[in-house]
Amino acid sequence: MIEANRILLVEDDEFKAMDISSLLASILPTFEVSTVGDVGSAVIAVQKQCFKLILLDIALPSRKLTRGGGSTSSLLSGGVELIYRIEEAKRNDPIVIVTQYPDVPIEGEYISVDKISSNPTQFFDANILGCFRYHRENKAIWLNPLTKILKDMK
Amino acid sequence: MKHLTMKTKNLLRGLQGRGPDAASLRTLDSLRKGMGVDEAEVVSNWLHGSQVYSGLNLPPEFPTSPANRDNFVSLESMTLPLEIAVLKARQIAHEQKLIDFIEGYGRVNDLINALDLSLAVDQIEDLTSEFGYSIRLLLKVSYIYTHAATRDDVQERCKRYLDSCGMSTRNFVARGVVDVLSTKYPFLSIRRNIASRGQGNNKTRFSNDIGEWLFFPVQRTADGFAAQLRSQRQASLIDATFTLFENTLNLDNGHRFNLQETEFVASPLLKNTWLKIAGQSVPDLLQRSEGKDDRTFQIYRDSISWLEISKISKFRARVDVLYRDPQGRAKLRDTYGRELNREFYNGVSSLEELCVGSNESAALEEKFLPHLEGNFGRTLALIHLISSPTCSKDLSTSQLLTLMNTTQNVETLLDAADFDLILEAGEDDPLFKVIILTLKSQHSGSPRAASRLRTSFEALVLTKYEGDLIGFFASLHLAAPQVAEYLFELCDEQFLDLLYGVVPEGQSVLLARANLLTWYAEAYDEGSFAERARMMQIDERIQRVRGTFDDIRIYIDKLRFTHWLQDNYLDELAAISRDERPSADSFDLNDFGNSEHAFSPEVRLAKLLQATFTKFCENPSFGIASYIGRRIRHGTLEGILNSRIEEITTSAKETEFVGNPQACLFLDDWLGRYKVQVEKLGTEYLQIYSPKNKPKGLIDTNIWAGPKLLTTRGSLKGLFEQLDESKLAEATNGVLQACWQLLQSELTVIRKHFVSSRISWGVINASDFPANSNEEKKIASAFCARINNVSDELFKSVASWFHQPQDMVPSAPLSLVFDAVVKEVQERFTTFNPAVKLEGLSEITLTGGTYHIVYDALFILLGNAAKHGPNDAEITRKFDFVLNASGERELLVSISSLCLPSDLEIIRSKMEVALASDISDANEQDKNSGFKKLVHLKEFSRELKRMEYSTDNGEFSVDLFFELLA
Repeated sequence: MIEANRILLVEDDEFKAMDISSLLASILPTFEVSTVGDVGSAVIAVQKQCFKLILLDIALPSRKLTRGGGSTSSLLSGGVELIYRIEEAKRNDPIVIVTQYPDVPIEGEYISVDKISSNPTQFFDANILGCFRYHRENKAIWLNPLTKILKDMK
Repeated sequence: MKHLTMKTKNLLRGLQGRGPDAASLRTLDSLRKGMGVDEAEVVSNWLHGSQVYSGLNLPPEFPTSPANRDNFVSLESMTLPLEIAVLKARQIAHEQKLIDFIEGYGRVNDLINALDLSLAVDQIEDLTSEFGYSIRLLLKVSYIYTHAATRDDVQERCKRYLDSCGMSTRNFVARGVVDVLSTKYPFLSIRRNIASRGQGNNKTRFSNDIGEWLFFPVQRTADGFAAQLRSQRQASLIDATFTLFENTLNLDNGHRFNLQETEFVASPLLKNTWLKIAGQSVPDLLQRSEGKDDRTFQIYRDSISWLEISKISKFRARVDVLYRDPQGRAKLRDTYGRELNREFYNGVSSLEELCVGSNESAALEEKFLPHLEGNFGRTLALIHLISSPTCSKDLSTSQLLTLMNTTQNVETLLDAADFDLILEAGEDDPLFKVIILTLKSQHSGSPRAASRLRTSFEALVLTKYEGDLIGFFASLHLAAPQVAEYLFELCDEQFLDLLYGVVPEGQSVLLARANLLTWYAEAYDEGSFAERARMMQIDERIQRVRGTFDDIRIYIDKLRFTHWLQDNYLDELAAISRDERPSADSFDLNDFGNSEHAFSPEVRLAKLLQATFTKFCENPSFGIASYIGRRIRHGTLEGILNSRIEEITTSAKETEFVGNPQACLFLDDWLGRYKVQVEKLGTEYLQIYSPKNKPKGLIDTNIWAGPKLLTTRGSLKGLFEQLDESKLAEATNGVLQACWQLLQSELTVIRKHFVSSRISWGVINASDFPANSNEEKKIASAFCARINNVSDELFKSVASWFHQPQDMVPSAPLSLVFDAVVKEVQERFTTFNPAVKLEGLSEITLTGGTYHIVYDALFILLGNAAKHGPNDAEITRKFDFVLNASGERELLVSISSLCLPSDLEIIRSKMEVALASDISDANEQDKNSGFKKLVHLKEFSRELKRMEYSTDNGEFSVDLFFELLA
């Protein structure tokens, strides 16, 4: 069952996380947003509960970096690992991919964000609502479609 | 010239008096392809007596010297009936010679069967001098070479023979026949390499055909058979004759090609002579099982040398249909081979019937007997049954374990649909699912399949073994050791890193892997894994003390890389180090990917280097790609290159250009273009090159590309030198060093790219600036100079990231090693808090594997200090470089501490005992002082040269002297 007002933001870049959080706060102020910055924390969060929306970065560290804990693996397709786990659990949590890369590595191929966005079922057996490229300068390319999705959730 | 058509006569006349040129060759091919079967004998005999035929560079029918047939003219293929008709004509012309050879060849078989290998070689040499060189003789020599005692006289003679045919000079056929028989190499990978070599390349048609024939000698299609006969005839008339009879008389008498015996039998005498060797019994030597492979598999590997025996030809006709990759099997149209299998497996109707314990291998039985089959036979049965629609695939978990424990290479030989069939029909059990998903994941290499496997694996370990990974493996090992070993190989650091439930803490990943290695070492009696586990534990401790590292300059996670290298290539490095190879100076590799001899040591090492360099660059978790990803993803690149430039332009628009809208527009435009280029720099150029995905990527992983060629050769030589000195641990570090050296040229290219990028789009030309007056021009000039100065600084700064870091090899400062040891000792003796006095040099960094040895030695010494001394013991630590009696520099690591006189006496006596006793069991037995282990270290590690101790002045002191390599 999907939690009524809970959103999971999976993002390890704090500036990008702030940008997306601000947007969430302005459009969906009553929603509770949990932010995690690594695949492991995201997997555990998803195992604990369903979400009304998962905003997902793709290149993520495998685990949380802790002092004295050694280095953590940086996974170029860490977000994809989370999607696979959601697929395997046959979950329907809506997912929006927001990445700083022009393409996403899926099954050994680099697929452009536009291609994924236009036909997500070709690549994933999960409920992908959109796939956008985050850009600091040209905010419209991700802000506008993401805003539309968030407003539809109201 | 009677019985010939007008067209044939005209073509023959056209060839008369002609020189051996390309036009003649075209006419010859037209003649051969256009003639009728009944014309073949006349035409063939005429051609062999003609001037033009002997003038063309065609190989002789009985070659008196070994040669590469790719260097000869290759005629076009004819239809199978024509090819056979021409061959038959030549057999008639040389009937007695062929009969004599076949009889002589039969005697070679008898001699091998009687284990008179030396006489067999004599006979082969006689046959060679009388009938010339042939692949069949080469195969027999190769068989004796690979089965004779190492370096005995017979093997040396065989080696000389093989060398005369080009084994050492990399003649494809000579190397191929040795590689196909040698158990040193994994069969499937060598088959992949040789059988599919050069496909589609007409210039190497001969080698391509022979390469394929070495692994798939039984012909399935008329075209394939015709092509083989053409190429075998290029090798010698003997080889073509053998190929013809092996595929006809030995099997179905040519029925599958609609051939009548009169079409392919040149004379009754030749046929009867052939049938004599075809009916010879399978030699005992062939059936004797050696090594860990079962007998049937051994026969399968060796059978190419015994194909003239009818029973062996039939065995290959049946087995080759099954033992091939699933795609190749699906495409195969071979009703004859399938019928042989249907007969052989008649009465076996379920996978369950394969799940029985095995007694003894049923080598070459005519009927499938599951309880007598070895792994190979059972694998074949599995492949046959899985594609049978009437076969029941219903298995329990324990049956699946039995089946997987007694089959081989299943992940390669079955396809995804086969695994799905087994999964759907089988028991609904987590372990069952994990085994099948493991095979599927290994088969496809798909990240999605790997993720699915991880989820199932984790669920299994958590629900059935309460998260105890070792408990799971121990239990599996009892039930099916081969399956446990297979899954163990899967559980490398990367795999464990993503098991968030089983290994919840990031810092525990290394330890989890180390624990698994320790378990494996004990379960499979592999001491080297225990050593690796210990090294991993030490790395983990040092990393904990070291903390996280600065990631400004380009780096790879050397710890993970080294562990990956050890997990995946340590065995291969060890195998290469044992292999005989040419001297390092004889490398002439240009592109090993197309090398004819994929399994010679230098090519294997080159392949290893290529694979590791690719991983070094591309691995998204510990490689260069990971670094670049982080730099670009987190906007560091854009942040540094853009922010100050943007700040200056924004400020300029508000100050010096405030009244100049044209200038402001120009600046906006320039800044926009600048930012686009900065973005491209990250997303297109600072990437690993891939022709499809990243065609502008500046890091090319091909180790033979451009300037890397020399580095590659140098690195290979260096690695061989390390392997020659049996320094395996150094060779793994050497591989890491080689990867950094190979990256140098890419780093240079990247730095140059920064320079050219800046010139191309990172500067503003004052002359382009819209200025209406001299004053505006002056302002623009000053502004441009400012921007250009800043961009120069920024580009230089970013370019400086792309320099190799100082510590290329696994290394650790000695002080860090000492601190890590103190911390580990404190975990055991919690009140131990020594006052450490420093002497000697303040800092020495150890590189290579040495620091593990120093760690172990320090651990013993400090452990004793903690055990026998006061908690606040004063310990003097001295690190220094000293000269030994021979004037060589050594590293001195000295530890001393004050002790009570009674303790000093105990320590002294323990030390004496350790020095005097048998230390062979030190690693297992010495659970007390550790001194035996210390003595063991001195005896068995190259690095620790000497050890001196004293118990004078109330102080126990040990001086350890380590070898310095550089």
